[in-house]
Amino acid sequence: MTAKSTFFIMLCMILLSITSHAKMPIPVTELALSKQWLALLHIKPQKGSSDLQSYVDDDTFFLAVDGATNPENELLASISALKTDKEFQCRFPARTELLTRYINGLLNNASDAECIEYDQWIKKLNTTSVVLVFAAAQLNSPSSMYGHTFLRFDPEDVEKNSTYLSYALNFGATIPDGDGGFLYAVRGLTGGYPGNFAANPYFEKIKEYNRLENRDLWEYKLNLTQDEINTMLAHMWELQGVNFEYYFFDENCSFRLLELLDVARPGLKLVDHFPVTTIPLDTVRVVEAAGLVSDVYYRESILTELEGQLAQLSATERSMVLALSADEQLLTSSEFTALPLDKQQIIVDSAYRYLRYQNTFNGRQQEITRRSFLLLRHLNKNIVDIDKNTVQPIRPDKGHKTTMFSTGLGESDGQSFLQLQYRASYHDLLDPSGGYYSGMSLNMMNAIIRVYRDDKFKLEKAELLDIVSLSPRSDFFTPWSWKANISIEQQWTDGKDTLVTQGSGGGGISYQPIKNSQLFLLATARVEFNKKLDHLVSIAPGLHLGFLINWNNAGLLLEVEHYQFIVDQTARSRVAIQQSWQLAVNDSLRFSAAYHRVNSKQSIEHSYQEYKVEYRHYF
Amino acid sequence: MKKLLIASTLLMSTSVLADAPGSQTCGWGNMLFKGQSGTSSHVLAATTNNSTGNNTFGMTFGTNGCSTKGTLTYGGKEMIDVSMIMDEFSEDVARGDGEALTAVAVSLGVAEADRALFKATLHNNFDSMFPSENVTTEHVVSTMFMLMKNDKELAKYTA
Repeated sequence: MTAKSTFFIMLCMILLSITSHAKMPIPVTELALSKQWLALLHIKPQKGSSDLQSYVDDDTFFLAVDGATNPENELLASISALKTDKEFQCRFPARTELLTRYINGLLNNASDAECIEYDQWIKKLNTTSVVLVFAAAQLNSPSSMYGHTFLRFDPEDVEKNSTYLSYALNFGATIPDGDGGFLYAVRGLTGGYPGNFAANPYFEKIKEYNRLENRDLWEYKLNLTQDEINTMLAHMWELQGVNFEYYFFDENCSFRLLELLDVARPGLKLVDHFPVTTIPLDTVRVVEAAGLVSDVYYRESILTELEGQLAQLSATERSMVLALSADEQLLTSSEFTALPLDKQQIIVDSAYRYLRYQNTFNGRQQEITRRSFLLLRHLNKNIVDIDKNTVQPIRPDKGHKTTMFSTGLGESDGQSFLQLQYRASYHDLLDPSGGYYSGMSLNMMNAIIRVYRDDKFKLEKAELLDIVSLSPRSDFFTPWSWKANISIEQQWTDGKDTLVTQGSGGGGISYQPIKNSQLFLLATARVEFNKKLDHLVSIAPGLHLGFLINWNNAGLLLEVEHYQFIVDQTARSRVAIQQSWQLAVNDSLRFSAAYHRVNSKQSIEHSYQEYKVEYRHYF
Repeated sequence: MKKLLIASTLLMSTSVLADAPGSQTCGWGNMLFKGQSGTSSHVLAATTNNSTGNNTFGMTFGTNGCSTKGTLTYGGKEMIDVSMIMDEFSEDVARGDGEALTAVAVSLGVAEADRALFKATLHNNFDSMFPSENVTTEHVVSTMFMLMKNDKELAKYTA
């Protein structure tokens, strides 16, 4: 079938769908408040409030002066434009479709419009399926742990063709050239940048995430019908160049995509699940729970692929990979040529991949470029089927949910307590590891309250932010590990527990002595506001040594930590062991024991133990 | 014979490129392993998820000034902009398969039945297509067209 005839048939289908869907007319006032119309205007009805406000922050999107707040006026303005203005139909194809479907005789009154640009766009996309793509976390960047989502639009038979050529639609903030630094992050968080939809071919996205940022991609194919897809595309067209406000926590990439899905299939009310924050991973769950996912495909990053390949090699073979990446002479050495052909090939392949991975950002260094090419040519001459041995990890949406509540019992310094904890997000080193990356921890808004025997309530800790990023070093990779923490917490000072405000952080190294484990050492520093210390603001350098191991359903963390305050003579040491067991996807148990010692300025030494058992539920 | 073929390819490529959109700066001069320029801090970038795309909805590129549709024309034939995927494409040609290679085939309109032949033809001529690490997109694309023209099944896709 030629492209032309396909196009013609599609046009007919669209026209047919308009007439065949002609429903009973609905009064204008009712249509103005229908979920379809509100979805097209990006107005979310607020419970218990008659105030309406569109998320769209752009006058060009509304015809009526008060269109952003008055859907009925916008509807009337749209109807009148539809009758007189040919431009309107080409600018707002989804509105046109909805209005002509529900308003009697409007189709006959509408001016004849020929929307060449739009028709060409639809024809070019030729979309028959839509895929929700989730970009998982990036190594050493816990802030990317929340993930990112965007949509992909596939033409027919994409499995037999190539998703490279599919169309990817991304919602993100538009950053003016030259903006950078801290301000940039803050403006991203607070809505200082306008948000827009942008389109790229999918291979650009693969490059951006898989290759440049080394993030695994998860592709969730959605089961939208052709009608639903057409509605979605028509509405996407309306959003071209339209500004939204962009907020990192709620009105972000994922929120906008849910709105698009709500337009495609009215009544899903996906956005209603996210009144406060929209974590991209959670939106994947909601989409899955709404029964929209028909298939899932895992696209591993360049780094994941390389690590998987290296894991198949023995220590000697791995050292050959390293040697080969530094000097191609190895190819002719007897120790190399004595190996079976497939082993040789995996070594060459790994060395090639390693060189490319290492030099992604290093430009074209002559020697490395030359060696990369020699290895590639060698691969070409010695083709052996390499078993890629891709082990698909647990899907991120199958991991534990992101909010946590726990109850626990314990004893600290001889006093027993009941403990309640609430954590808004996300994952710590010992939470069930399935679907998450081991060694990566990001927690925000974490509060712990204790009730002691004498009915005394005590705020044990209120954490704004807690990040730990452990990345093991090897002969191949030499990442740094780091942590950061901001909290209000109890510290035993001058004879009693004292509530202090502190910010701390550190950097260091981590190694993997045995599988799924990390042995780490971080040099740390702490700034503490503590009225019981000599100075209101005290600074303490320190060290943090730890060993973490994650099994399938359990985890163990051993830690030794020490802080020595400068100026003030106070020193604090902590030795702790924590063990967690996963009971179900969203339930776990945790035991911990710790020994604390505090040396204060009057050379008073105080030491105490703390034991605790907790039940954690994720929701 | 092979040498002759390459020489003729090079001769003809300049004339074919005359109607290609733009010049060396458009990516035709891109070499293998070009690498990427530095990236901004990911910790900060994560709050905005900005992308390199632009806000018009055609398949457009932010990085390549002259291939505004994500495609290049070669001798009047529209195809995927190979300069954007040179590294991936060279790997796939070396190995004989892969998504970048398939994407090039699809963008040239090579029917499913002929794809194995297309891939094998390129794979077996890796050395002509990629004679050195300093090969340019221009050479890769013109050699590919030459190889296709010299194959009776694939010739039809070059028109």
